[in-house]
Amino acid sequence: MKWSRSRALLTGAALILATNIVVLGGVAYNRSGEPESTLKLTQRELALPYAWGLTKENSGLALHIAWRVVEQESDRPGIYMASYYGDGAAPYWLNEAKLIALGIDVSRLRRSANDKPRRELLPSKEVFLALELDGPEYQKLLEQVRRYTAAAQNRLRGNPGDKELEQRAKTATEALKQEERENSRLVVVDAGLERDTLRTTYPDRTRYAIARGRVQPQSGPKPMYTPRGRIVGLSVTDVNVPASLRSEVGDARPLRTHETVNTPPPYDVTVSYGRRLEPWIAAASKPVRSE
Amino acid sequence: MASRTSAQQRADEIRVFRLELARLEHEGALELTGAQRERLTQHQSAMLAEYAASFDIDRDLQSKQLSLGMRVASFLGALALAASVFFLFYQFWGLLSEPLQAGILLAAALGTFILTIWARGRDETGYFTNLCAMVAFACFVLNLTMLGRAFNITPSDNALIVWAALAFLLAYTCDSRLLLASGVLCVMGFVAARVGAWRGMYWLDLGERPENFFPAAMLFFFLPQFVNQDRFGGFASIYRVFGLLALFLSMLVLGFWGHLSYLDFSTNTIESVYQVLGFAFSAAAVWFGARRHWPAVVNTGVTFFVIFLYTKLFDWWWETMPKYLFFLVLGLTALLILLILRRLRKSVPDMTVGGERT
Repeated sequence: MKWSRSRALLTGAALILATNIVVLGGVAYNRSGEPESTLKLTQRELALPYAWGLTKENSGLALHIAWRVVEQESDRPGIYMASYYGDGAAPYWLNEAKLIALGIDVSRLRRSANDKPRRELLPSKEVFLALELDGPEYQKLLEQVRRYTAAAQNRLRGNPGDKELEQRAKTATEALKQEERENSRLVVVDAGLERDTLRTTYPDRTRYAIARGRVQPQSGPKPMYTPRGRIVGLSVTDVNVPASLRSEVGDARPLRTHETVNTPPPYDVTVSYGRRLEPWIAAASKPVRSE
Repeated sequence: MASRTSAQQRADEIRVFRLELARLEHEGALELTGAQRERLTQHQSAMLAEYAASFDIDRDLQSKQLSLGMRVASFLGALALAASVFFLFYQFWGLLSEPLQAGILLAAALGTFILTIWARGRDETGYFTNLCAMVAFACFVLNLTMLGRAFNITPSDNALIVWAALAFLLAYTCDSRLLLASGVLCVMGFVAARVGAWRGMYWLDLGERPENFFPAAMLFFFLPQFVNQDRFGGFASIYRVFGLLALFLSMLVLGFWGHLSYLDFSTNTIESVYQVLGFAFSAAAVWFGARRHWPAVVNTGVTFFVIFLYTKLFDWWWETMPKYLFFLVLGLTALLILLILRRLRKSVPDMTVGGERT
């Protein structure tokens, strides 16, 4: 059936307009009423992008949400217990029981114990994640790193002149400094299928944000290959900086390069999560003193 | 005459007829009277003039070659303009307020769409219309993508279905096979995402289970049987070929990476099953396409049969066989395929010249 031009024009225009109305209506709904949560983050939790490739052509600026998980100490002992997205990201609490509670069928992982490729790969599932800002999990982690650093320094005091111990103590001291001043304090602490249930468990809306994210089951280490999960990522990984707040966050172009990776400029950013659990930057400012 | 494609096909047939008529007269096999020749010439010339006025067809081989050049220029021009629109927005959008960003994106999508419909009414060749249509589609894709980035919207597969809707509308309004293909790809992505979601997968992981594409592949392959595409030249071929591509590419992947399957067997078993199915389905496509006079289906079936065969031969013998022997085997296999296809061609005498029957 070939349509007349006027019919095609009306249909197409209606499609474009209706789609935009639905999308923008969704945005308005998300930002209506009281935010679901509001977190005061800093440059530690919201990272500037690197200036490379097409980013140089982009006048827009989006800050990357730097979340972390606390892993099993047996997997990554000592100062390396907390990993970042893309670097393992299998939290100690995302065990087999938790995966089953999330409705993930892990029996296939066990059944294919002899078939290595099948054992390794099952698809991810979108669930609700609880993100904790500068809370008990982060304090636990900080305490862990402090204990490890203290132990490394004690060993060195007991064996002065030992080059290897000296290097370990130096590494541990730097790691502690980084943990106290630079690393993100935003930790994924739980996952669930019902957002209201998670919110009931974590009621403080200024410390805990509920966001959509993905978990993926995987085989544990030999010999049992006990199933466990990893956090693949948040569904919304970056937050756009509105033009009106750009001067508070930084210059018009991304500032972070490989040369300045350890010294990001300081800023305070208030991020709100709305009714659809989509974030936006509500406020931004430069701190009076650098952290 | 329903469309430019069918008018062009008739004009090509008239040109061939005239050549054959001259040859027959030269060989003494046929002789027309003066009145017959005059009536025939008048009839065909009037027809060609009408087609040229209505559809801007190619009357001869030189025009045909120039038209091909125009098609290429139209396609490249559309790509370049779409990229230009994208980078223009990319360069300045961060300096604009959110309402202004949303307004400009909407205006670009709507404006280019209206321009396309306007051009459709004035452009007899169709090349400028196609160019506008592709830019309009690109602007709509940019519209939703950039709104998603500006307002931090959770990614959703629903974008694929609205993009497909506009692509199909533009394809059927402007007779554009490229936009039809774009619409088909969007729908395939959407169907695959939904099939995956019903199995508990996150929609963006749709590629991790190639079997997600099977339903869409079947849908598009058989669509022309239920929705007549006679008025749109080449549309039926696009549906069938893309249906086959989705099917065969998925089988090819599963034939080598069986752990991506939904099936609950060992990896080796799954790979063997899909390799056999790949051979069987591609051979079936060749046979079926030959019987139904669908040359695009035959060509796609042959191509994938060869791909399945060569990848299997590589898998078996590349490491163990001397290389000269390996390539000799490949060459002999190609000869065997040629012989089989020649036999197949002889057994189907009424293959249509030019376009395919739908």
